[in-house]
Amino acid sequence: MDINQQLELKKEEILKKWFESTINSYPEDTAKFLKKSKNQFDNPVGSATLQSLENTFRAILEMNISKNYKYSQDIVEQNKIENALDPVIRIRAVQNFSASEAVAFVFELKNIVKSTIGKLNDQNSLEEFKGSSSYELFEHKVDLVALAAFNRFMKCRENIFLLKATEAKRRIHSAFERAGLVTELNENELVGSSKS
Amino acid sequence: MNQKYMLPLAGVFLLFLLAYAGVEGVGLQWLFGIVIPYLAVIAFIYGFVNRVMCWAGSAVPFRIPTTCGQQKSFPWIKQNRIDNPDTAIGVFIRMLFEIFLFRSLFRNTKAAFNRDENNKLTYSWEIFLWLGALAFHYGFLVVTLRHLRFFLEPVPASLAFLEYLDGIVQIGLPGVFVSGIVLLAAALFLLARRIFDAKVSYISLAADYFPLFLIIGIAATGIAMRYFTKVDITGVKEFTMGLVTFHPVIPPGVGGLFYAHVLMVSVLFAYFPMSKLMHAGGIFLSPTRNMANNTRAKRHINPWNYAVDVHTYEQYEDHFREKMIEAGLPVDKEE
Amino acid sequence: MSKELKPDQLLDKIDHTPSCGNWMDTPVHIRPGMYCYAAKAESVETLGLPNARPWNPTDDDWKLPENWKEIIHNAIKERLERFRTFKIFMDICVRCGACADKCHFFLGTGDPKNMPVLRAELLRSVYRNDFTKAAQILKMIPGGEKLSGGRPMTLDVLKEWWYYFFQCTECRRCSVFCPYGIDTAEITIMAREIFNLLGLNIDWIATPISNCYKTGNHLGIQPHAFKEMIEFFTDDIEEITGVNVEPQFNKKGADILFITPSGDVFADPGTYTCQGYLILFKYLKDKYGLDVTWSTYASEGGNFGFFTSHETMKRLNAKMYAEAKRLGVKWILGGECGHMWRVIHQYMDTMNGPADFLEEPVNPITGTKFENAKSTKMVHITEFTADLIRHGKLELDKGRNANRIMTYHDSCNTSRGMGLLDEPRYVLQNVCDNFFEMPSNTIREQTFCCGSGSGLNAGENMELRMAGGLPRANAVKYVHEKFGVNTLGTICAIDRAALSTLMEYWVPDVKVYGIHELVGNALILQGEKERETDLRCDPLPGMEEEEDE
Repeated sequence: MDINQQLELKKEEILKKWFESTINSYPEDTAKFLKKSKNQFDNPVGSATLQSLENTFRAILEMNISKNYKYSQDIVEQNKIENALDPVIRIRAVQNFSASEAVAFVFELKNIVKSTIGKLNDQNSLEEFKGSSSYELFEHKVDLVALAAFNRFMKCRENIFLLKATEAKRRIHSAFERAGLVTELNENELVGSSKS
Repeated sequence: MNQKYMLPLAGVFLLFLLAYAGVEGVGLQWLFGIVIPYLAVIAFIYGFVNRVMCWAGSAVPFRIPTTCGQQKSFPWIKQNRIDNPDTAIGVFIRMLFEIFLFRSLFRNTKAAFNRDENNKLTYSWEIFLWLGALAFHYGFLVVTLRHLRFFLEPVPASLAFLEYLDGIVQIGLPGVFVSGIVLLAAALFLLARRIFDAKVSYISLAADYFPLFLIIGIAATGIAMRYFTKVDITGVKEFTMGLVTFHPVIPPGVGGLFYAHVLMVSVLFAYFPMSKLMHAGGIFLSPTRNMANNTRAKRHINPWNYAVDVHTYEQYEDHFREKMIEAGLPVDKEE
Repeated sequence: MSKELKPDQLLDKIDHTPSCGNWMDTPVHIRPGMYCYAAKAESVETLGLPNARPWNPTDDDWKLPENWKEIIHNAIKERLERFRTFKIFMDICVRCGACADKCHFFLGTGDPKNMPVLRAELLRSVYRNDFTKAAQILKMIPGGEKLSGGRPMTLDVLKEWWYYFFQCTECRRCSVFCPYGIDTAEITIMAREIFNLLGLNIDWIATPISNCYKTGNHLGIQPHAFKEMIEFFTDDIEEITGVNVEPQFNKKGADILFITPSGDVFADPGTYTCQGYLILFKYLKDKYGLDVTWSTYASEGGNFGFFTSHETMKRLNAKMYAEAKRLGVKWILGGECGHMWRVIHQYMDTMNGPADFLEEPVNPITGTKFENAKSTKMVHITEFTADLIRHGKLELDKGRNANRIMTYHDSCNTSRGMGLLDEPRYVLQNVCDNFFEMPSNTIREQTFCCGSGSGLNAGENMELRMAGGLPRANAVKYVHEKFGVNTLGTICAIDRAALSTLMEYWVPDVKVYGIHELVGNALILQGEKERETDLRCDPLPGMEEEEDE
């Protein structure tokens, strides 16, 4: 069985562990709630996190790249990963996390896969497996996801700072400006440059 | 171990042992059977009345019901008369629903039945809070009412009927009363929820565990006496009738378990008015529930509505007159 | 903190047994992005509120008055006597946890101290310690202090109060689910009153109330600028419709005084809603001779005093009746706003009434008596417009809103402090064909707050606002993905500003509209030219190609 098949086989278990380790980054009492409630609207953080991790995992499985692949070499691949990660990162970017805490969950995936797939193999073949090129490729993919997470995290933070900087000006001053009450502020420059 | 529930648990055990040993060992029947119950009832009545008077003594400056449905506006828009009442009758019905059916708590379940992302039907655990609370309170109510038979002579027919209903599941001898079992089970459930549900455990205080343990203790001793140790019912009735007729007697042949039961009930009574158990009285007075949403139609009076400094139009115009005239705005005083 | 500690050692140090009441021992960390800046001294002085001085929440020293503990103690005592709500809510919570996961700030931030019950416990713990018999008895037993669930007032406790009572938008969602109707908003209101006695307001509230007191509106817009701004809208509308809507100001003897939040006059996209009002009033004037006036003195419908203290609320609100009396109008019409309507509906008449100088409101065009407003004599504009539509008094071209695929956000205050749910929906569905509700546990009385209410719509606390608004945004995202919803309708000025930002972060394709902006688009004015654009100067449906030509 190659690693992709093994990952596919153990998908449920891996996702469950990955979700739990991600959610455990919240205060304990919050984490239990986030894990428990399944309703998408009563528990937006939990459900968005789960959904986003699932999509990211699928993106990893579908990623068709070689070991020498460099991040951002293929913009389509990159967008696929970043879009899958977006909901979970977008939430963590406004919560009580430092940058490293916000994206640390990606690296957890390596340990989870090691221990989960480990159960499929005996000790010898596990060592062999870890050294295999297909596993190295998997680790490489996780690294790419981590890079994508950094990217997305920074984008969200920039977005926040932009909203902070421009919200009041845009909302209040644009009305003043249209009325000709202020002239010094070029609103288009302020906003236009940062729209992505 | 968690001292938030270990200490209350130890406290309740201590109470039990105190009464049991006090009666069985030292023979303090008069203390646990007569002095403490009387004191507890006095503390309960005084405390309860005092607390309610104290609440009632606070003003209700504004009419601020929480509206949970469509307001009354036009005849062609259907008003939710219960969740957003504008009349006393509506409020009365709303309060009935709150008090007897725990309507607000039931709202937790409304969102519960939903399809999740995998199109699986999911339900929330919270419906059990409503069910558990309902079972607990009704169990408690029926058990309390049933106990009136110890304090009334002759026993009224309505009480006998209640007992008949309560014992309708005819198992064993003496016949099982459903209410006691339900009360104990519901109290255990509420306790389990407090200990094992993370968010509830986080917010719980010793004061939340203590009454639960106490009630569990009361229910357990009560059940033990009825079904297992088979307490001398005639003796008990003699004792309780003595209490209500103010001619207290200590009947022979009633053991420590009974006095432990009585002590825990006494403690519950005395503890009641100074604890959260006063929610039983408070729910009637809660201004977000017991007021009609008709503040725009009927003026509410604030008893302490004092005058405040305001920035008057005259001050405003004085400040801006020139600019107002220049802009073509009408002014009261042309200068 | 020892730097040598390895992460797993650190983990070992964290107590994973279900918490032992230790929320009381977790000190507060005031995190940037989550709090609002301190009130400027000048703003505090305008209203003569105590302890005006420069201070910074992240400093150790908050420059409190020396007897601050005494002030707090007395303030709690006084409020226990004045407010039965406060007293009962301090006593009867059983900590059942029904409210715990109902708060948008808890759901969004994941901070357990944002559970409503715990937010209230922050204050309740001090109340228990200082005011209850149980605690006083327990204190006599060694170790009993812990059992009472009380704690003494300290500077850390005060800081924790400040941090978390400015993370509550007074939306009352928890109150809907509480079996005793305990309303955390009431407790937050009391806490904020106490803060104001110590000079601990936030600037985003203090400066608007200071402005409002002096100039009549939160933004400090002087009368001539107010008029100029609305006249500018008049020009805009004339360009689009070819009709001059001729607004009137401070006009004595008008039928109706109209008051709306100043945000509608000065902040996008509320300005488009404002144009909607102008078009409606013009239509009613031409067709039915209804005479509506604006006021520059009472030019603020909103009332940030509500987020300061009952007294400040009353001082600011007084202008509405005073101006109505001065102008001699029949009754007052109020624009789309959330907390403004909580104040009008549940407080105004009590505070500043009786309004015996006004008439019981009757719609002169339809003859409908607004029975529900017969004492306060102020009518909500969606009630007014709904009545007009119901009686067929408006000519509407729904097609002009055909490109708007709508959903509707109930504002917290109008839904849970009033019950205005179906009137705006009725108006909406008569001016727009495509309407989809968000899931039932996120609308009507269960609506989720925008996360920026009660004076928390500042810029510096953007993380808090985005996190708090997540449950709302999440529901919008759902209808956006499922039905292609591109427009979020609302009847609240703070919503219009705050939800726009919220959408930009979470669901960028959705725009925020006021209900009367849509009315303005659909309403056919007498003598208007063929409109090519909507009020935002975007081409109307069916007009896009002509533009391309």
